[in-house]
Amino acid sequence: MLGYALRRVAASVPVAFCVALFVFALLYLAPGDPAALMAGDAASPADIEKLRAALGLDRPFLTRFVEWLWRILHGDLGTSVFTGIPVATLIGQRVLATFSLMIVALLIASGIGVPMGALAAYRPGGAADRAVMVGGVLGFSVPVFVTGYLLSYIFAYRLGWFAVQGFVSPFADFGGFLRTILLPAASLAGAYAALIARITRATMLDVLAQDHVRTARAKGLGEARVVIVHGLSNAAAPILTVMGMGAAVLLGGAVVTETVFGIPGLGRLTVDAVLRRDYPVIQGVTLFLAFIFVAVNLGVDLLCAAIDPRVRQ
Amino acid sequence: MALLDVRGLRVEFASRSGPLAAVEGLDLAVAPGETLALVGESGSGKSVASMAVMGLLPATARVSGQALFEGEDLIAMPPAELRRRRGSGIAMVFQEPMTSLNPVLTIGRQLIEALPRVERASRAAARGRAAELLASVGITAPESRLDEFPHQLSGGMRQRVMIAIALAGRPRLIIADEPTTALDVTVQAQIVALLQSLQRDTGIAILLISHDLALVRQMAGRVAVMYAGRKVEEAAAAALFDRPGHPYSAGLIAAIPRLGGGREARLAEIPGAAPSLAERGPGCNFAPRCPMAAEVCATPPPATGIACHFRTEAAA
Amino acid sequence: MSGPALPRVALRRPTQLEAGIAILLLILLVALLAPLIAGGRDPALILPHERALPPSLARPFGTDLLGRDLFARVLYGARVSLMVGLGVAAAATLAGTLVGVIAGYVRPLDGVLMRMVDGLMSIPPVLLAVAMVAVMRGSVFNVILAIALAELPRVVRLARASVQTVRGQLYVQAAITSGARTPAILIRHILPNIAAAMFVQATFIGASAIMLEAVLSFVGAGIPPTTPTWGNIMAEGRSLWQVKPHILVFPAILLCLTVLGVNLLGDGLRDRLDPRGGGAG
Repeated sequence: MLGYALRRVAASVPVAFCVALFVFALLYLAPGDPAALMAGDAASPADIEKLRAALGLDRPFLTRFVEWLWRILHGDLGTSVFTGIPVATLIGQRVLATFSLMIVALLIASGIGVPMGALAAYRPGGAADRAVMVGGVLGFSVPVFVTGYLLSYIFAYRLGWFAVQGFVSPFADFGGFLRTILLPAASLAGAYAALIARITRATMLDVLAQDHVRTARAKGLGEARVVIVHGLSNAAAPILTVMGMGAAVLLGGAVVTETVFGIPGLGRLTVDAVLRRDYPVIQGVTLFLAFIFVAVNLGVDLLCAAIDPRVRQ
Repeated sequence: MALLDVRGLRVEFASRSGPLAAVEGLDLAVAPGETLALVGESGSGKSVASMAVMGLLPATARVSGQALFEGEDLIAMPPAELRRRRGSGIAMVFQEPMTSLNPVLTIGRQLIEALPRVERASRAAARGRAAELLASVGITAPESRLDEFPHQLSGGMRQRVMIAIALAGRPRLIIADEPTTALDVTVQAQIVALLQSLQRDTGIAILLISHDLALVRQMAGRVAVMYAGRKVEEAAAAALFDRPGHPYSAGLIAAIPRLGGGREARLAEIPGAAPSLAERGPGCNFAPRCPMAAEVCATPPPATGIACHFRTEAAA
Repeated sequence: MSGPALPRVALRRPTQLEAGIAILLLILLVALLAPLIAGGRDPALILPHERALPPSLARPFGTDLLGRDLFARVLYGARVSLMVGLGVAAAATLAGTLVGVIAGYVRPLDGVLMRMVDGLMSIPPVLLAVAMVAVMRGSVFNVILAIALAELPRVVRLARASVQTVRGQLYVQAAITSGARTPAILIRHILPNIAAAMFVQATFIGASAIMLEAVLSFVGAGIPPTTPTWGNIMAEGRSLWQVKPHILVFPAILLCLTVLGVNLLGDGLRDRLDPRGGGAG
């Protein structure tokens, strides 16, 4: 297990390096002059030149990349051009809201997706199977912001059960946290739940047809135990892997959900930075979230290896 | 009274062109402590019959007839009742030791969950009993094996574990479905010896399902031969191997390789292939491959005893 | 012998395919005939005294905050969505298949290419596209480029996996050992065998691109409102969504319908062409 973990950690280093390279190159290779764009239409050529020097845009790519990488390894993600606040600080202020949103969405999505997918596989053609089929197509076809406004209109605006906007820290007021987080998390969970239900159904269809499931039944175990212990334990690794890859759905969806529900998180930070052309913030947040994605998938792989001894081989 | 008494068992599967019967009117009786072998080619319905008795067929299978276990009909009883008899009344050992164990759970967990409720009450006692079971099937260092996973064991070891799991519920009958087919020859002999010694010690009955007549001759007291979903003959093992009554049984026995038969002694083989479910008719289904086939074979063979129109001649 | 396999229930798939095609033909018709259907309503005409009007006979979808006719804007918006969907599907599939075939066929390049693809894949598509459009300024072309890049990794992965599967087949091995040249093997054996899977995936990428474009425009990082798109129409309705929901409702319905149509088409095609294919992902 330790050997596998070390190999897997080592394998994610080049991936993380490529992520950094892309995020850096994104702003470097962009057509047009970032300094001119940043300075705005009213800036004089001298202003632009000054900004270019300040950003280090006049030096060669490789030099700048190495310097930038070096700073990042020391926790310096740059400074916001617009507010003058370090990007790391900005991220620190907003990370709780975004992570709460994603974790609650993850709980909702897996709480619906896994049981529905398992039921669908247990009785192909049954009610759950049809629900997964229909829910799957709808989940992939309705954008997050449409679900968001719909839920918000019904449950917050009309019924008043939840807050329409904002975010309350779970550590400050848990009731308030739930009132603000449940609707955005539910709308964010939609496509993710559809993804989880589909992969669970497909994997469980295979697993439930395996010989060892017949052995479990022959032992006299109850159907619930057969499906949950013997079925899901075998299906866990593929399901978790797809959930890890699908974290991109959550990370991207958070940007939109935060806009709809006025949540001061990393997504809003990015969107505001885009509108202000605050490149260091865009770069910093993108890099941060991509690293989160790499870390999540590393964690998922280690978890799979812990659950499923075949993965460790 | 028979321990397991199967009467008129019929299993049908739905198909596009209507239901197809995989087992037609099977009668079998297993007495306590005896070994009955159910013999036939793959597709003859012998495995389907055993799965039907255990209630392990998919919902698309239609099972009718009776399977009386200790006087109670397994086929008519509600699923929860049947489930209570699995493991504790009748246990199964399957052909594929590679895939019949759950690859992600330890041997210990898979053994312990097969124990009767009272023996699972305390963790330590359950582990003790599980180790005892492993020891009883000849696994050395059983304590440490409990924490291993199936892929860490050899094929023979896994089959021993399967047998230990089958014994865990203290059943009166074990259905062993091709228990040695997937194993090496030397390991086969060990598994056979193990099953025989367990039967001597515990008085458990075995329903042995196999196409391997050498194995059957070694283990079984009585033999029932199935062909194309029907039982064609049943007899004491010694009698059957000596004087097979049905031409199909005779063909099977002639096809057994013999030690000392000499390199040049050609194995007899039965020409052709068994009919598929859809090709079966009311007459003798073996007729197209039978050396004695005649016009009369197009009519249904005798329903009792040896299912052959020429049975007296064949027996002679 | 193992027990009979559990039967998989055959749902009436052709219906799905037909439904998808029907929906898409309708949307295509709307996009092509937008000026005709709009009946002289100008999507760009600003009428300050007719701001945020609710739907009426004269203005079937109402007007937006600048008094522009939403019926016309939503109709014209179909053009952008279809262009983005088609453009991204084509660009990502062609480029991704090329890279994937190279990675799957040229062993020495495989490691490097796939690490780069993994790296690119680690940046959530929405963020990557938002960042790219922010840098390049929003235009239909730039949005297509950005989304295509974000969708590229999935195509590369599928193409590479398919190539490796086909490459392992005996007849391809035989062709290789008998000295057939690489381009001949690629064109005669590999491409025809992966085409179905790539085509099915292209439809799912089209669906995802249409949605992503709407997201970009919705958060203000996409195509500017001078070109009406469903995303930027909804972006304008954002601030007043509780009191003027009509600004959001109509583009949202069209958007969902279009994406649904493409997804149904994809599911239908997958079951026809590539029955073993994976999910929409």
